Amino acid sequence: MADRMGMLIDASKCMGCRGCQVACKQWNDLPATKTAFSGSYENPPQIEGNTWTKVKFSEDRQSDGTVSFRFLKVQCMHCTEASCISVCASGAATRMDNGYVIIDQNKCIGCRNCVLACPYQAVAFDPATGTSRKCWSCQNRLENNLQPACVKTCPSGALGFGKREDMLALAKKRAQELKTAGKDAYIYGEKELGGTNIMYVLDAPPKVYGLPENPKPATAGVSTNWMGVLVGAGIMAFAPFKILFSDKSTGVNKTPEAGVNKNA
Amino acid sequence: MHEADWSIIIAFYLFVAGMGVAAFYTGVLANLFSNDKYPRLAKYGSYIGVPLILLGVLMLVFDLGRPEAFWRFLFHLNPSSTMSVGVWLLTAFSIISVLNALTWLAEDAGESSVLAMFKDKPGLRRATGLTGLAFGILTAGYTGVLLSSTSTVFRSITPLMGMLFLVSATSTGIAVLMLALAWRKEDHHIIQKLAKADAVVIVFEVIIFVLFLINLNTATPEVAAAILSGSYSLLFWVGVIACGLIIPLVVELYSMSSGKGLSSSAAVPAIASVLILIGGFLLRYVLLFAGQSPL
Repeated sequence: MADRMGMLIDASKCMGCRGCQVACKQWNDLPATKTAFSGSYENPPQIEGNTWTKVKFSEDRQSDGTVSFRFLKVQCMHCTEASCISVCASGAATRMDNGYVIIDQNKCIGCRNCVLACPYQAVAFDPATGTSRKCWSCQNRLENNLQPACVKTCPSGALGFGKREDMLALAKKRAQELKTAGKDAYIYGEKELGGTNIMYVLDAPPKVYGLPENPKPATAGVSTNWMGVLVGAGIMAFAPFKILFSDKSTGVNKTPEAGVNKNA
Repeated sequence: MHEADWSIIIAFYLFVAGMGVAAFYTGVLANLFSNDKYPRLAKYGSYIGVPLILLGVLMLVFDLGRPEAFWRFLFHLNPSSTMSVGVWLLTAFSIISVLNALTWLAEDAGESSVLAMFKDKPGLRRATGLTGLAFGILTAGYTGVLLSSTSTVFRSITPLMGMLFLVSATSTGIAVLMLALAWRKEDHHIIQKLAKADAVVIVFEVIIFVLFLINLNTATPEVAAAILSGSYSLLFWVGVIACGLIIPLVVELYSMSSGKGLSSSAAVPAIASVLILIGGFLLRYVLLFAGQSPL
């Protein structure tokens, strides 16, 4: 088993230059998309089939009326409890030895179940390929002992890459520094969804950055829902059908009781 | 705003598949519990269910990004994926229900040589009826489980989604059977029995729906608000609740309690059926789209 790798994104150091967005497009040969001005320099408005990472801009209005801008690089979080893997019906979404989650483009047939199931909206359908695509943490760079393209290009030191445990230690150290400087500090991704390979140091609560505070994996309610189906089937087979259609007066009983089976 | 990744085609699919399997198992159940007194119901259910489920499967395949590669689903089983389980349920149900329909078709076709091998096969008909009943119920339930495991809005809140879709599918299945019977001018007494069964199913559905909405309102008030008083409220109150549940229930109760005069008209259950079908589709439409709204 290879070491589990990880990335640390220090939101307190991000200045929103979007160099990571460009580097990602260049390394992975992803075309640009035409977008319209949406009232913000955040662009494109969401992760797309050919935009695997982007910087999200949040305006955080303070109680004194001033506005602080928050920048957050978003991409696939490479969750331990990965919803995309658990919903994938074609076997395209899998986990690699180094902990990263990839979607095999040869196996994906574009049902878009993972697109809906991802708690971070980090997977998107690409009409050009007919498949669902997302960040694969530049596996072809990692194999050659290079950092992911976004990390390599980051000019402000907001992105770090290495063993996940080292990144977590770095996150804790940085959070301590922020706190010492009298700022808020939060670590995101240490525990969420079983621990994500991508972790954040935030200087405001995750909610302010638009991160889900208590994300649930796709498997969360499946077994209880199936139980509900069986209970519903039992009640329904019995109440409306058994009572209304059972024929107690019948004399010509062509088939004996053999098949009275509610299947519930 | 994020464009809906699962479009209206999927809402149609959830509706058509639920209605198809339910028409099948409704007919089988009615015939089973009456000791083979209503073979026509089983036959009509089979004739209605087969084309609907095949239509549903086709819609699914053509909605894929790469329809030509759909076979990959058939070479893979992921038990944690509701979609993967559903693919296998659909496949099993399709094969079983086609065999079942062939046993009826062979009888109706007379001296046809092509279908002769399916003629006079009560064992095959019974076996496919019973297994089709089980797979049909699971398929109807899976449509709800699929949405609850897929949608980040619905996944954690409720064990009721599967049950709700199952019960709603049953109501649409009964409705389409009643329509077919009314169209073929079949014995009114059978239609009345189905209308009674449907009234009971609708009462269940209302109870489950109320619990579901209470659950939803606790977990994600903003989505509950979108359904109850926001952008989906008109479709929800007029379409899902009034058309799909309340009016058909009132009509069915009224035609049961009223004298012989009105109840012999096939128009009354036919109208109720059409309303149920509209409501059943809109239920899936509203929940599919509300379930895709970003939180």
